[in-house]
Amino acid sequence: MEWVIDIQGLSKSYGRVKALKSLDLRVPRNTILGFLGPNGAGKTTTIKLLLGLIRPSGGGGTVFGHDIARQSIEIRRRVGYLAQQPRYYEHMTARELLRFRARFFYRGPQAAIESRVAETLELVGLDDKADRPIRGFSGGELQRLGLAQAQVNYPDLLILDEPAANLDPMGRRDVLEVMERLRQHTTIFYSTHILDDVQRVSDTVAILDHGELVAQAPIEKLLAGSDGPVYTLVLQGDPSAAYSRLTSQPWVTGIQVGQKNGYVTWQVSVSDEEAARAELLRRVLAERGLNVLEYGRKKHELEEVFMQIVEGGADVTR
Amino acid sequence: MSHDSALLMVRERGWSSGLRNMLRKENGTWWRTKKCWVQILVWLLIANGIPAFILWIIPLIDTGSPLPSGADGLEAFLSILGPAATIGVLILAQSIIVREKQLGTAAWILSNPVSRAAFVLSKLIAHAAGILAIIFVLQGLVAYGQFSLRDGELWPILPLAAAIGLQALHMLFWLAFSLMLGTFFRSRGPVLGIAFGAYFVQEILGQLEGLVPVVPAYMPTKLLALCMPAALGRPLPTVLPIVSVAVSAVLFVLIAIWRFGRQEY
Repeated sequence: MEWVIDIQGLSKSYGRVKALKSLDLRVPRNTILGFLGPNGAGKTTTIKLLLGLIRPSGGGGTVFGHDIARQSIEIRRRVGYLAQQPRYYEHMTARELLRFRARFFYRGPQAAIESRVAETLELVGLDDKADRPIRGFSGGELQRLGLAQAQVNYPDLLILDEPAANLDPMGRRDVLEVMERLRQHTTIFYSTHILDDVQRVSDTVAILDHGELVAQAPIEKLLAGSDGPVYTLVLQGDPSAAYSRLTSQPWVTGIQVGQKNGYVTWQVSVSDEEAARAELLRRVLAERGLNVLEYGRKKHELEEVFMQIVEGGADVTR
Repeated sequence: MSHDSALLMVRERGWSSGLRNMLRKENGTWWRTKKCWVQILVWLLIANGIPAFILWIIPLIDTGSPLPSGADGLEAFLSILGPAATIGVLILAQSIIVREKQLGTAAWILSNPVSRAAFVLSKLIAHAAGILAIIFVLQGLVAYGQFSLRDGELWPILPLAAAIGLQALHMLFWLAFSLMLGTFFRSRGPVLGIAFGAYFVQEILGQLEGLVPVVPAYMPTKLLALCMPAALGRPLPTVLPIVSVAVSAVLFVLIAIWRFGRQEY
């Protein structure tokens, strides 16, 4: 597999504070990796290390095969970056800013640069505000401008630090839509703590906590959970006979009973998924007077998985 | 959305990566804004105002005295231009790097394919060029016109150019010094304070030549003392200040690049 980002043992200390502790991380080409973690986990530090804005205290890595400590200019030629709190020259207009950034990559011809700038402004929906000074931009407009400037060189890797932070739901939706549109052209590495967004657009998730990588896995694998297949049922009626019948099955490893809106809920953990698919619902429905209102294989919410991992105790998927 | 094959990639590599684009932007702050006209007017008043007063206004007021010559205007011009340009440069240069660090724009620039040396050099070159053109070349030409007009004949241009060149070197020293300080600090106060402190200390030391015999000969203030003989076409008593100031300015730039290269954003 071709790795766009490949880092090993990367660490960063500020005095006695260890912001990043021996991080190993690999990001395959043309994927969207959601880089999760609570505030202060080391997400921005990792991003700055990848871009050469800060120097590693230990370890190292490559981006597109270029060493992050010694060849950061070569890395930045292929990267677009949106900072967590982006700061631009406020006297410039959006068009001037994009033109300025584009010229770090292209020396001409002028018409082609202008065309690229116009196309990028349109992509993020800022074409009607292109000639307004940036100082008058709203938070959402600034964020979209940030995406535009990061994208104007059509980077092979987009690094976005909290791209949807401080945005209203509409702004968030817009940013995610832009990311979705870009995914076919580029690898996207973005940090966030908005878990809904990660669940919506990411292929892979890496979770960082206290400077350490505690999980990295494809999103489906992470959401499937690490405690084996679990089926959820919402029942109406007396379930005691069905409960006894199920617990006697060798493939049922446990039933967690709860309440929801006055109904009984079961979370049935199974060891043999094929047997569960074939038998579970049938055995419950065999009980007269017991109705199944909801039935399905449990899919973990990312927030649940995240909390389990960060607060400790969960299996770590690496 | 597709990659546009018509676009030509930049060729700069290594330390010069991003230099051309940075220079274009920095030059724009001098030449594509109102700042240019404001600076021209202010420096016209400062550098050529008093010589003009001596050459043209005083003869109208004091009709009994002999007419002043171009050389009288020259002395006023050179004695004002050097110190005024230094103070102007120190005020102007204090924020060149610090402001970008404070605003966070330095971090954004450095996330692009720009070398840190290119960042520092673009600031130095663009500001030096702006100051050189507006404060020295333009004012020198106006002064040259005034002196020639007063004396009724064209002045020899090379000696005046040499004198202005020495003053420009003096300015470069202080510009490089301020720029270097800007790479060490994150606020303007220390940059301005240290730069002005150093300027006034070396001015005072320059006055104590008899007491401290060796050090003042290397001071930038001694460079300004060479301007008048140079402008009159006389041989220079020493070239030591020229060498020491030029070497120091280069050293300051190298330190600035080294220091800026080590900073984290």
